[in-house]
Amino acid sequence: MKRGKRKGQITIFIIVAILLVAVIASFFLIQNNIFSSGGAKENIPDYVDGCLQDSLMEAIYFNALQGGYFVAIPDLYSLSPKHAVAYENLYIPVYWNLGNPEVPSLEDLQDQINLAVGFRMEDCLKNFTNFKKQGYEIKTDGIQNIEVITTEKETKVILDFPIFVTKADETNEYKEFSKSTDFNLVEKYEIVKKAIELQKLTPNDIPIVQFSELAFDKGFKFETIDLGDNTFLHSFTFTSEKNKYQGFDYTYVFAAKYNETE
Amino acid sequence: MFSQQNTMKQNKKKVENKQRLAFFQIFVLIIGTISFSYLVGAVDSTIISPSQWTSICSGIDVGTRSDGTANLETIKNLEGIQAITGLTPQLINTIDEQSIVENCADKPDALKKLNDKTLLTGIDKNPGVFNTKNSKVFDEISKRMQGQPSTSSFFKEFNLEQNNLAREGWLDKFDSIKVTGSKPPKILSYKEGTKILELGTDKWKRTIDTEGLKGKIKLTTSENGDIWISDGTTITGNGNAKIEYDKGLGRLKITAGADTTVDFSEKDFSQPMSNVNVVSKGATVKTTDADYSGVFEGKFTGSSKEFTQIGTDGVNILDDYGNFLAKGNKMTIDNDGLINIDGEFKDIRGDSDTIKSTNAFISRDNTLSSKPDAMNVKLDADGLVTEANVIGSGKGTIEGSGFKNLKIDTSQATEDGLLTLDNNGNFVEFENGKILNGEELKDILAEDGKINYQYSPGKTQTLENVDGIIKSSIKDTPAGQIATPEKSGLRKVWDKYKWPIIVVAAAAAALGAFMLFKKKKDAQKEKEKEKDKDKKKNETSNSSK
Repeated sequence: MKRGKRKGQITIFIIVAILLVAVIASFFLIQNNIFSSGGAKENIPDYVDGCLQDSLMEAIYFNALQGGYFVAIPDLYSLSPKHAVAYENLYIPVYWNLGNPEVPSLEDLQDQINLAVGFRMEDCLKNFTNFKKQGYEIKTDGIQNIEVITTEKETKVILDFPIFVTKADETNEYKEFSKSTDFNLVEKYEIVKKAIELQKLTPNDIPIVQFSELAFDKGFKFETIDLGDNTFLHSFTFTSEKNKYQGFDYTYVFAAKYNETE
Repeated sequence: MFSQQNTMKQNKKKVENKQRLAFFQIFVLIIGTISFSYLVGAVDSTIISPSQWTSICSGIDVGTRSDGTANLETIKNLEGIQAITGLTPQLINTIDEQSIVENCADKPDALKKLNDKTLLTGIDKNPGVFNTKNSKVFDEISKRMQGQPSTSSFFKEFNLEQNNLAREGWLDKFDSIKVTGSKPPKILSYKEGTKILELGTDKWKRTIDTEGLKGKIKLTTSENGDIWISDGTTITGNGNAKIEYDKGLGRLKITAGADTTVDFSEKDFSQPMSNVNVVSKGATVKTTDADYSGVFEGKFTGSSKEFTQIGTDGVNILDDYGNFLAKGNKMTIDNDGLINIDGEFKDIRGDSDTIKSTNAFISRDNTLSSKPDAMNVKLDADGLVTEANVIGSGKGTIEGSGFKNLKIDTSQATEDGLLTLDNNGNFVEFENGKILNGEELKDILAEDGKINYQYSPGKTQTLENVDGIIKSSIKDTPAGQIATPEKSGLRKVWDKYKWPIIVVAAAAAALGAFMLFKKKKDAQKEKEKEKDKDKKKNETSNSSK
């Protein structure tokens, strides 16, 4: 992709983002849907917990749509994928590029969740404006650290976020927040990694039998979308109840670019 | 005294009467004797005695030139015959062709002196002469055929309508031949050495290995050359056919030319020694399964049909499923109708489906094959490919214009096993456990078409073209699909959750934009720093100067 084009797209995204952020608040008031920010809470720890919970789930489910990335624009920062393709308003990283695997590590995915949670928390907390209006005095130096832990049992995020809350001469200090979900990200990542291993068997072709069998064995549904120019999106959708978040199926999408074959 | 005189007179009269009676009795006796003698003498003079016939036969032999033949009139006038004791002119007049052949049937020297007409007329009037004790009539007829073309005078005479009974009688003498119908076929040749008989006309010919078939089969033939073999085979048509027993192969061999039909529909292949070879030079071979025509060498047995020496135009196969053309080096069809071809198998009705294979099994019915080392392909009643199995090292290509309801099995395929479905240059290849160029399925699988693909034992994938989307399922459980962006499931998800996704995507994009901005700013700062450094360097160097 040409560099000038990418710049143009990013500019459009900025404009879209500004416009959308303006309507987000009103939008979420009438929509009780996925990726909504944390609802109003009685107290500040609960409020932070709510935001953290929503941010974590958003990060898990949204990042999957972009191949595990929160920001998947290539060649942008140290965690950027090498190659990505645009699809709707998403950037999908290329996991199989002309016969070579370019799969991020599990740690990379954790870092991307970290990035998403951090960014979404800022948005969700809204600088505690509502609480401040209610007479709370809140002092904080911001989020100090975010740790994402993924195991086969859970996905957990630990937030190092010191907050000093004062009201009516009573001051409370909160330092660490954590939230977890029993969502098994490790399993999903291993499935995708396995798919790329299967791809190695037919470097220039879609391994439709292998993907089908993998889907059958692991209980997901794959979809291959022809984007043209020998580029395909592969999406793995996990439809079981435990993989749903507010009705939305966990869908892991990555791209593959194949060599031209006769 | 007077009374004494009367008595004397009376006695004299009695004596006279007795004398008269005696004379009468003697007269009657003489007359009776003469009459009897006359009568007896008359019978002897109207019948030629056996001994006279022996003399006549001998007379025919001696009286006729050694290299010549005689007709009936010549025979009657032979001196040797005229001189036979007791053979009156009246008796000689009673001699005809029938009586000569009948009485000289065991006298080959006499028979050979009869001209064709005399001999054949004699036989025709009583074909039983072939069967009388020590009859040499069959041999004489046979001898007259040797070295003679079918246009020779003998064959012309023999094949006349008036000699039909003679021909039938001669043919019936063959152990393996029986004539049916009102007329026997015409005879073209017979070779005493090989005992090869040719029947026919200038249009058709039936060559029969009479000696080879002896004791093996019986065939019935008719005027038009139709042949019914005792095993149920029939040979008909206006072409040539040869029926022989191939000692080397130990089975019946039929060679058939164009316009000839060899029909095995009624043949019972379950019987011992029922295998048969057919050398087809454009003939049609009918079986219960199909009609096969063209140039080939076919081996038909109870368990299979094998075709070799297939002509360049191939073997045309006509059956309930359609009209197919098989080309190549070898084709075998087993009891299940499964065709193994080293070559090409094509539905020629619509010129649509061609199956090419170095070792393919093709079936036009619904029977499965367990043959190893082969690719199996089945066609449906419309001649469309419905099933293809790569079982061993077989490689093959099926060409068609879109495929429907195809069953593919590569589960037993070796590394070389590869099946290619080719639709006007859009192709997809199947090998053990893999579908190569899987995305091409949408180009070769017809709308609503379905492929059941067994990629390993017990594991079957179903690929179905539903409204342009190739849907894949394993054991009837949906596993996934290949779709265009417009019809994709992901697009539906996008449409449903568009705004929530855009919100986060926009946030991510905003972060990305911030990162880009920061990156640019950092780069600019770095650039300015470098500039400052360079500036300071220049200033320092200028001041030092």
